[in-house]
Order: sequence, then C-alpha cells, then structure tokens
Amino acid sequence: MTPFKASMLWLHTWFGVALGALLFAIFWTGSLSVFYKEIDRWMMPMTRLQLPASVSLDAMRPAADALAHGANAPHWKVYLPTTKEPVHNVIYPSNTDSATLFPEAPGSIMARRFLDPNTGAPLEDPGTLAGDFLYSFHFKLALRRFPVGYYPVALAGMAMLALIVSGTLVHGRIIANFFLFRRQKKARASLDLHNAVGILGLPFHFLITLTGIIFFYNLHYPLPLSIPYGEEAGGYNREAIAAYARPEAGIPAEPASLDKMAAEAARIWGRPVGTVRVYHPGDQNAYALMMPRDDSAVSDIRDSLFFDVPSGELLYNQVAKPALATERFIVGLHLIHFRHWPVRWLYFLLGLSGCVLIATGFLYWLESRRKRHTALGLRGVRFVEGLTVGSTTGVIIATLAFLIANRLLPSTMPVRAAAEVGWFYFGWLAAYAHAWLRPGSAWYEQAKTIAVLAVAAVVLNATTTGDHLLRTIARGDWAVAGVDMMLLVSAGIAAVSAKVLSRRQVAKVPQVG
Amino acid sequence: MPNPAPDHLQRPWAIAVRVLSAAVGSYYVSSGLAALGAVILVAATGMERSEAVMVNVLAAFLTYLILAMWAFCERRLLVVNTTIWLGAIATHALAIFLVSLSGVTT
Repeated sequence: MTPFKASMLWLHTWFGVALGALLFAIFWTGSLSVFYKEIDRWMMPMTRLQLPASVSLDAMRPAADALAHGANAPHWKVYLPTTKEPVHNVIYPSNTDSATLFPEAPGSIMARRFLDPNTGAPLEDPGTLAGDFLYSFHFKLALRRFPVGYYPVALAGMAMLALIVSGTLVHGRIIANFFLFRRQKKARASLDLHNAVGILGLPFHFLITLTGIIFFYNLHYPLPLSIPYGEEAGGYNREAIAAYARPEAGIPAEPASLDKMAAEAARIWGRPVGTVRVYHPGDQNAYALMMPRDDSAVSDIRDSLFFDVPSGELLYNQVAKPALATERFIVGLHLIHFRHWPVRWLYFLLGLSGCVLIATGFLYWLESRRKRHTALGLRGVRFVEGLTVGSTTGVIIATLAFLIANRLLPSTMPVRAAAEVGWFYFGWLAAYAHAWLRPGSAWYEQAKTIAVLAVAAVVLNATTTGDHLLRTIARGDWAVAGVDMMLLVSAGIAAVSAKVLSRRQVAKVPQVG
Repeated sequence: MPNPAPDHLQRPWAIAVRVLSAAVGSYYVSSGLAALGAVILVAATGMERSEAVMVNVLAAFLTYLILAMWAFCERRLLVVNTTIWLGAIATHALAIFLVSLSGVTT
C-alpha cells in the first residue's frame, strides 16, 4: 500500500468511526425529511383536510394579523396550502411557543399555527413539532433557540465528503469488485456490501451532502460575504437577497386585497405564489413579500415581489442574478420541492442507502478487529459495537417513540410538543444504554423492538384517530396511508432481521467471543 | 487484520494538531481565497459583487475539502501547518488590503 493510500485509509477509518453516529442520524432524519409533510399529516390529524379548489389570502389575513399582534411580532409569513400540506401554514416570531421547554428564556423563535384552507380560521393547535422536528434535526440537530446545531452538522457533512473521496481512492478494483459478495466471512461480507452501496450511491451521497452544506453558505462563509463590501455592513444581503425594506410608520392603515397582489405576482412570474410575508401588519408602511412556487422545476426559485399593502401597488421586483440562480438550482437539488414522486422515492431510498453505507462501515471496522481485540483484552470493539447499535437501530427506535408519544400524549397537556421530543431522546438514550449493557443480544432485541413499536404506531393511529389503513386508502389519503404502510414494511424488515439475528446467535453460542 | 497507521499518523498530539489544521485552518484558507477571489473578480471583470462572492463561495466548499484532505497526506507536519495557517492569514489580509485600496466603501 502506497503512503498516500495508507493516509487515505487512516482518514477513512477514523473519521468514519468518530462521526458515523452523527452521520447516520443525519442521513436517517434527512431521508425521512423527503416525506416530512406526509409525516405531518400523520402526526397532526386536524390537518388531514381536502385542498379546496381555491384559497384566499384575504380570508386568512385577519387571523394571521391577530396571531402576529398577539405575539408582538413585526411580521408573519404564510406557506399557502398545497396538496401535500392542505392548510395555511403561518409562522411568526414568538416567545410564547408551546414547543419550547423554557418559554420564558430570552431570544425569539418561530411559532407556527395552521389555518383552515376554506375559512382562514385557526385550527386547533396540534401541540407537536411533527415532521418539522425530524426535518430540523437533519440540518441543525433540532436546536431551536440556540442556533449552534448547524455547525456540527456542516462539519460532519464536510467529513462525509472527505470519507466519500478517501473511500473511493482507497478502493482497489471498483468495477471488478462491484459484484463481489463474500457471504461466508462476516468482515468480508460487510466490506463488500459497504463497497457496493458506496459505489452505487456515490454520486447521490456526494451531491446530497455538498448541496446540503451549500444551503447555509451565508452562515458558513461570513468573511467572504463581508470583506468585499469593505465598511458596508450587511451589503451582501442587501445586494443579493433582501432588496427592499422599510420601517414601521406607527400609523394604522387598512390593507388592500392580498389576493389581488398575489394574482398580479402570478401574472408577472407565470407561476403561482407559494409564500407571502407581511411586514408591519396593519400599519401604513405595511408591505408584502411574495415568492413563487414551482413544483415542476428543480430550482428553488426565490425571486421576490414587494407590494405596498395599503395600496396594493408593486414596490420592487427582484430577480435572482445568474450566480445566485445557480445556487438556487444547487439547493433545489437538495430541497426537492418538485412533485414527481418516483424521483422523491429515489431520494428516499438513496438516502437510506447512505444509512446502510454508514452501518456497514461500522460493521467492517468491528468484524475486522473483533478477534484481535478479544485476544488482547482491548475494549474498543465492545464500545464501538454499542455505539453502532445505539446510533443505527437506536435512532429508529427513537423515531418510533416520537410517533407513539404523538398518539398517546393528551392534547390538553402543557408543553406537549416538548414532551414528544423528550420521548424521542429518552428512546434513543435507552437504546444506547441497552446496547452497551447487553452487547451480545442488542442487535436482535432492538430489531424486535422496532418491529413491535412500528406495529404499535399503526394500531395507535387507527384507534386514536379512526383513520385505519382501509379508510385512508379508500379516501385516497396517501400521506397517512403511506406512513402507515411504511411503518408496516419497516416492522416486516425488522422482524425478518430479528429472526436472522436470533438464528445467528444460537449458532454463535459455542464459540468464544 | 486492519492496516497499520502510516508513520506520520501515529503520535496522538501530532494527529490532534493535524486535525485542527485540517478542520479549522483549511476552512480559513478556503474562506480567505473566496474573499480574495471575489475582490479580484470584481476588480478585473466589473462583475456585480454579490455575484462574484457567490461564485467564489461555491468554489470555497471544494477548496476546503481538498485542502483538508491534503493535510492528512503530506507527511511533514511543519509544511502542513505553515502552508495552511500562513495561507489563512495572507489570503484574508490581502483581500482586505485590496478592498481598502479600491476604496469600495459606498
């Protein structure tokens, strides 16, 4: 082995072991994020509605204004109803959010309320972060009040890129070994599987990681964004993103029709409006920022139109310039706002293949060292095995605990959303503890647990909401039916794995170590 | 049987320094190069600043990756450290200097 390859192998081995746990959790929650709106429907039964033929901004504006005024928020934003999310999704800065553990803590976070797509009236507070928790875990570890979670995720992402490159460079015969699967030897089998998944998913794994990090470029590269502007603070944002702003006047004024402004915006773009943000609602200087939605394109277009709310006049039209438009395309590859479901499923499956890649990497590390560590009395294998179990099957158990908590906790409970998150972390910690305490049987027992919990989640959805599979399928509610079916598929896979593992365990008993 | 670690990746403190230079130092080199690249691109082509910044920042992610990986391949730790940390300081300083020269302070 050349010194270069030896260095790359060292990098691959130790960065993999050190960051595999975090990377698995990111790939797992990221894969689920493909369907996070579907998970939202499952976890928020009051939003399992039919999308009306037309929705009105003017109908929902009073409720959104009231929410913002109640929270003393300077602006609110609405994601207009879509087939995936058939309700108005209103967010506004707020300190009184049921989802935080410490509502009195300083700083502000975004509160979210859903409004009926027909009437614009607020729906019952779902008391859950739902899919948004899993979604925000995959890019900021779901840290809401303290925005530090982006950094470990980005660093792990950079390490993932280095792992992909080093792994490919170390790999000897990419084509010749692709069909190699040495089933008899455990270490070889996990290596062959690791290599096959790694090569097959290589373009996807590299791009999904890179595009995910690029998404937060302004957070990660503050100096290149400020140095070219000299003394001019915030120059980049003004020039590239937020092209228009004005302060509050302090004089109340009646708003004009937001629906008319949205129709004008759609006419200018040739695309429907996706989001509307109203600044200083009810004020004479109120203005609305509208952005389009295009579920037939890859690019996440953020062209912006600014309207004067009291008069309805267009104030400013901002179109992304070429480099920014390129970035929006790169980011669009990650965000997959397009509706084409076969490609979305491909993203989901390739994301899960990333999980398989990380897990088999761990397994190869373990199996290639198990004998030597046992002989020398080293504790490395035992520690990493517990780490592997806890971070693979463990995070799946945590996710299922989160879903089950959602169906079991009473809707009247205070800080209900935080309690659900508590179940998630409790489930995960319990899985780690179990994995380290029972090294011999942890895989088998956790696989069995996953099977039981997944079925329990489906049963609880049926009993607490009445929406069992037959009903949701008959109704054509594929979001809820799909989550239920995926839970059953997971239960099946987990049960089969448990069976295989138990057979292997019986066979292993006479061996030493 | 796992492969033994190469000679330059044996001592724990040397590894720690290398990881620091790779993870933090390389980042700052990529950041400085992006800033410098943006300033030069604006001066040379008259491209709009936000556009020049975006082009260079997109490239910075890959610069970071390549430099960080190089930090583990180069056997001489001194070469790694001087290149990366001097590069980090020099690129930022030069970018700031060029901006002050051109007087872009509008």
